[in-house]
Amino acid sequence: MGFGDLKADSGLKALNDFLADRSYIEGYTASQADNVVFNALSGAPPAKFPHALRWYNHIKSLDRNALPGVKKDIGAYGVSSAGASGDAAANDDEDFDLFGSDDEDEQEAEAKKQAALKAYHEKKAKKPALIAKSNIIMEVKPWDDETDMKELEKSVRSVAADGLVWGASKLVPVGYGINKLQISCVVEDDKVGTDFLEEEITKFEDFVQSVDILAFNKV
Amino acid sequence: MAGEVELVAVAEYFQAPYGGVTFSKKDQTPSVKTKNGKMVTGQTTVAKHLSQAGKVSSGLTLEDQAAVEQWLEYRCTQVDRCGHNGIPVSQVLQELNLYLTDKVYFVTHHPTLADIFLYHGLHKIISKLTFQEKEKYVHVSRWFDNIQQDTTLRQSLQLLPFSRSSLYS
Repeated sequence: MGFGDLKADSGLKALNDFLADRSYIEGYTASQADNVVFNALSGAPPAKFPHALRWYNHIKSLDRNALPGVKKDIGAYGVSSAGASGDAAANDDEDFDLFGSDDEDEQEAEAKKQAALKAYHEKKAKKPALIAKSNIIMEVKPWDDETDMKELEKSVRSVAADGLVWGASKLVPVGYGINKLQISCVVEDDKVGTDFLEEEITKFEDFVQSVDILAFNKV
Repeated sequence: MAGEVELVAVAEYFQAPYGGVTFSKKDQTPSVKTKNGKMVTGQTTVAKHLSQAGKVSSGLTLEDQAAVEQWLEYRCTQVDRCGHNGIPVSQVLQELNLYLTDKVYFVTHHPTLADIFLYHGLHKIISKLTFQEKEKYVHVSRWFDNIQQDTTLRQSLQLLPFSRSSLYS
């Protein structure tokens, strides 16, 4: 909720991102929401946050105390303010509370939920991420029977990338003395795509006429 | 008709009487009779007349007025003429995007005639943009989205959707 520490770069960056496509903190006119966030800043944002700076200059030019709206806690503004903190602010506004005791229970439940959520996130962070891998078999076709298949294979195997391991290969006769090369490789899905492989291999245009994906299996 | 919608917006925004505006049958040029009995003709001229005749004082300094005037000219010479065989749309949008980088409104810190005129002039152009293009001209989009929320300014024009997606950034 909110923008975090608006006196530090992290908070300013959040504010800057938020204001990239907005002119005001809330709605489409200047309000006390702008005033609250404005006062939380220590001064004009540096030029590397152009959206925040534009908003700052605009708000600075207005009569901030005459702006409409009600001041809320600064945490109520920002990207995900629609959720819990918005409700909390709404509760504060009520003069007469029918369910006073329930409110405390709610807060307890909320605290429990937060603790559980925190524990979950910690657990998740410790767990090593599973790396998705795929086994790809490709078919590389030469131009004619005079293409040096050994040289072709060497070229293909020279393609190197992080997360790419070449496997076994064999030559399969097509006819008229022409062979095609079938070669398998294991890739990490996040790091290497089939488009990349095809592009890299077709770069050896002296040898390679075309590349096809014969099989694609998740490991 | 586009021209009329725009003048109604100007008249309502500045709270000026719209009644006297007539449109010529030949080419739909608007004209209006001023208080001292003279006729003024032409879209920009009538709009300027309405903005000054209204109850809402624009409160602009001479410099600001000159800036507004420059944007009205920009609208007539650049925005209205971009498209197929004129100035490329992307060039106009790029210029406006750069200008709006550090501004909320075109001139001063509140909407002026320049904002109304450019909003109405750009509506047709922006309505044809894809979400990705709107994201590319994010400052124009932000300004446009802010202006179009005012129903007085928007009148019968369609509310255009803007949505940022992390896909494009």
